[in-house]
Amino acid sequence: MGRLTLKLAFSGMRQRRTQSILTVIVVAVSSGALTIALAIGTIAGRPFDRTFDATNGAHVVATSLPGGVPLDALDHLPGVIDSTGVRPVMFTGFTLEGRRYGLRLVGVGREAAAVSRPLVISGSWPRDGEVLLERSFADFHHLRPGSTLATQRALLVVSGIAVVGGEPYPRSQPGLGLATRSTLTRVAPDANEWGQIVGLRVADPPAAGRVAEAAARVLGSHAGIGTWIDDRATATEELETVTVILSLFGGLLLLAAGAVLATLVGGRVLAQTREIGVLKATGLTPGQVTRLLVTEQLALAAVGVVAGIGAGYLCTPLFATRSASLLNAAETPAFDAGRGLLVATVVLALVATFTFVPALRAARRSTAEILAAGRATNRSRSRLGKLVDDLGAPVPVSVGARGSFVHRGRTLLTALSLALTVAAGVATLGMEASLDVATTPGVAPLVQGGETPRFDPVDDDAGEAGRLRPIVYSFDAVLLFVGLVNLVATLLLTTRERVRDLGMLKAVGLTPRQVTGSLVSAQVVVAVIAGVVGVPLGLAIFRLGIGLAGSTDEFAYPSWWSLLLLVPGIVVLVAALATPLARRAASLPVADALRFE
Amino acid sequence: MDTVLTVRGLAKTYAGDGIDVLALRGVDLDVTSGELVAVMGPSGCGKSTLLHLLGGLDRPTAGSIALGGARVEALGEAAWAVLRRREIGFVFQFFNLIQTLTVAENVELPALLVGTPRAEARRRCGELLDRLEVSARADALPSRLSGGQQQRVALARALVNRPRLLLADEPTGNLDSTSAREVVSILRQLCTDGHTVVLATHDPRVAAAANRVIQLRDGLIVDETRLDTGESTAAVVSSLLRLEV
Amino acid sequence: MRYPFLALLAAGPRHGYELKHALEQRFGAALAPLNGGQVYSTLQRLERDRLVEGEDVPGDARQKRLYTLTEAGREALREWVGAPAAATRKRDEFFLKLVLAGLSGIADPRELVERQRREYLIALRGLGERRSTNGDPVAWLLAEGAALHLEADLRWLDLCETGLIREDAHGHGTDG
Repeated sequence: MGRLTLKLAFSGMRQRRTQSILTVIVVAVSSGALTIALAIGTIAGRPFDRTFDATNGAHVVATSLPGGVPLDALDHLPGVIDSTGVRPVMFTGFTLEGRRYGLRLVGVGREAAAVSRPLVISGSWPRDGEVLLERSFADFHHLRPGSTLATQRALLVVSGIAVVGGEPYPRSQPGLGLATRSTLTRVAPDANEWGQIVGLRVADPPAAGRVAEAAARVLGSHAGIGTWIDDRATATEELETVTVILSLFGGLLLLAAGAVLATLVGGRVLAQTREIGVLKATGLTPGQVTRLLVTEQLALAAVGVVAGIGAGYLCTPLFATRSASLLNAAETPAFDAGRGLLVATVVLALVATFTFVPALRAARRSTAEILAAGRATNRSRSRLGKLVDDLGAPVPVSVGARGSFVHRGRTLLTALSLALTVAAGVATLGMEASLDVATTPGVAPLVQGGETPRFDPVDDDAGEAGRLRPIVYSFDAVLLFVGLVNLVATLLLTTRERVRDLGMLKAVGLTPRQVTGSLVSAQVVVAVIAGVVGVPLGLAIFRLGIGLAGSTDEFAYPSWWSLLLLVPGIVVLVAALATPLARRAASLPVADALRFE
Repeated sequence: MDTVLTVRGLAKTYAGDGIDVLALRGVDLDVTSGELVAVMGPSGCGKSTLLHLLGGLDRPTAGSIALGGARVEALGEAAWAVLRRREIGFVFQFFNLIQTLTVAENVELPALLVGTPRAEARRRCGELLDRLEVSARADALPSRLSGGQQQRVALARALVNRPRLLLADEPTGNLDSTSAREVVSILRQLCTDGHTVVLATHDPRVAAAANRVIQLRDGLIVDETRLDTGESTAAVVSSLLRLEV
Repeated sequence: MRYPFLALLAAGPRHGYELKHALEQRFGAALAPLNGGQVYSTLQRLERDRLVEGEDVPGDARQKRLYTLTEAGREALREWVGAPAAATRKRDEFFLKLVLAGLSGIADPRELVERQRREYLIALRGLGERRSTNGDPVAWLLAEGAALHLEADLRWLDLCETGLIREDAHGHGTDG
């Protein structure tokens, strides 16, 4: 029986080549989207904590200004278990492309310390004359290993880029660089211009505040002391927008992926009703029929899953790098077997469920019922149909629209999945609108130290909004892609279903153009419904997302005119995609159309 | 009496997997206005193919078709569609009706297509449905009707524009004998009113109502019987019905 | 005619003219008009064979005889009714002609088939044109039987055509 099932399944797949390929593509896109979504979720989740753990961050950081109290005593405070050691810190400036920016240099030894250990992600630890740049700072100014930084007295070569954690540049300014003491000497020979900095790890991290108080008592007023708890709060709060945006996108990707799967697989089985009837008439039991269908779909899905996860892994770095940089988070490894397995399991389980349930139901119905089943529902002249009639629409349009209303289950499924796509679009628009509101424009750098160096302000559009924009756009692109795949798959399937009816329309005397028009009308009706439902749905999702994040004042809703344009936009898109498909179906000779299975 | 249909050397070949199927192998046919022509033959002989070609639902591989003097075999889909609206009514063997429209909507459709006002279309539809005794199901979807009922609705739809030529593929195939008789009598009445009917059938009783019966075997016409020579059938019938005691 | 009379007498005694009338009523036009002389000669033979008993009715001017079914007559009737009619066709002249024409070369078998087909179709046509049977089930069944036989004959004709006549590779052209 197993071999027979496999044989039937494969012959079925080969016969319905287009549909099989479609299934594979849709599953691949779904899996890819899920993989990316998971990666983003991982990155966006607790960025500060992850980086903190990865770098073995300091629970308490004390800085003393030039000429201030030495920090050596702090190593011996009660509760302190480890330390970076006291290190020199200085503020200076550098010139890049004719503009001057601030730079904070911290002196380090030949190798990284155990605490506040920077994660070098490219290049190497700095030697004399070199500087290791903090990642967000380097990204912002497009600095790479080998680039040069021109300070007033010395030319520094970038040795590498490292992840340090905390607030990213340019929210936190000036930028951070790590260099050897001799390098620092070159930049500022006068050691009196140097301050000191030390990072401490404590035995009881939640109680780091007590250690900080103790340190404050020791050092007096000319030092700055901060705890990791405050840093985390600041970083998280400032990064809230970014985190929410990323999480929201991850969520939308999940939704879109799910919608695509549901459309395809659910629709496939709905369309397979006649086949099921024939199989049963041939003598297969309901159980055998169900097993056959599930096998077929799972085989195709397996291919799709592998392809999709592979593609997802390939694409993830594109998003991961930027997101991670924005959040100043440690990157997650590109290839994660656990994640891949999770996606594969979820997708295959979904496919199995979407196939199994309708297949079982269809297989249980009486054979005669299925074979005789017109694919239309049992309802007679629908009120909506009368409405279209009374509107005086041209005949082909009303015929097409009627078609949508009669295939009610199918239409609903399509409309729902389209509505989800529209909702995703609306939420995206909301995020774009929020970009300008919530993110800080570039600010003039802070001034510290004795002399007031004059620095050029960091440009506005190079601010965070500018950095977020590419990410948002690439997410938009992915969502749009998934939405498009969904749309095309749906259109292909519904067009296929209607071929026989189309043939009949031609036999009755509709010209191919009118038949095309009728089919496109049917799809446009669905698109309108989807738009009308999707816009408020999208706003609701957006609101929900913001609500979950906590603060609502940093978010803006999409402009009313963009929302107004969205529905006609969707309609035009659907019409544009549906027309070539409909035209092809309409050009089929009637005799062939009637024989179409 | 003018010629409605002139067919010369009509042939149709279907390309199969390695084997070509010669569905029609060169058919010549002339049909004059007001005739009822029956095409008979075993299944697979090419009856349906012939009708499909005559109605423009498929393109011939060779040969010519002239409708009312004008050559039509090379017309495009759009032109054929217009022809079918006004001039040719088609009744298929299966899958006659548009599943997503109700019975009444199906019948009204061709009338609406040629621009008939909605009220008039509805009236004609009602008339035809009454005549074919399916008016009770006017608001139902085709999937709820029996095969015979669907066939009668299909006939109504084919007739709503009073086409010059009616092509019917096994119009009585799914009907009981009473309904079949009714349909045959309607078809004959149509011919008396000036329409022309070409139908394919395996039922000799239906064929016997025709003016001409054409025998199709393996894609070729092998015989033609004229039945309307006006000779009296009374004597034959009486002898048939005589009981020997 | 004997057995129909016996059957009519099974319900009870009847006069001679009553028998004729009942038969005509039952079968109507399907029956050739009965000759009075035939009726009486049949009845006489039935009496001679002791299948019926005749009795003159006294006091009747026309001396009409009343006939009654005897036991022997009832037995003979039962036998007749119970015996199934033979299924074989009595004769088929056309089939003979068709086979022999092929052998003798005297006539074109194809033409024979065409002519015969025409005969059957015309007969069918005639049957179809007949006015309604006024709800009489007997007449209707008779007509249906005739039509069904003709359908069968036509089908058999098709078989004969393909079976007995060798098909020309290019087929038979149409006339005009």
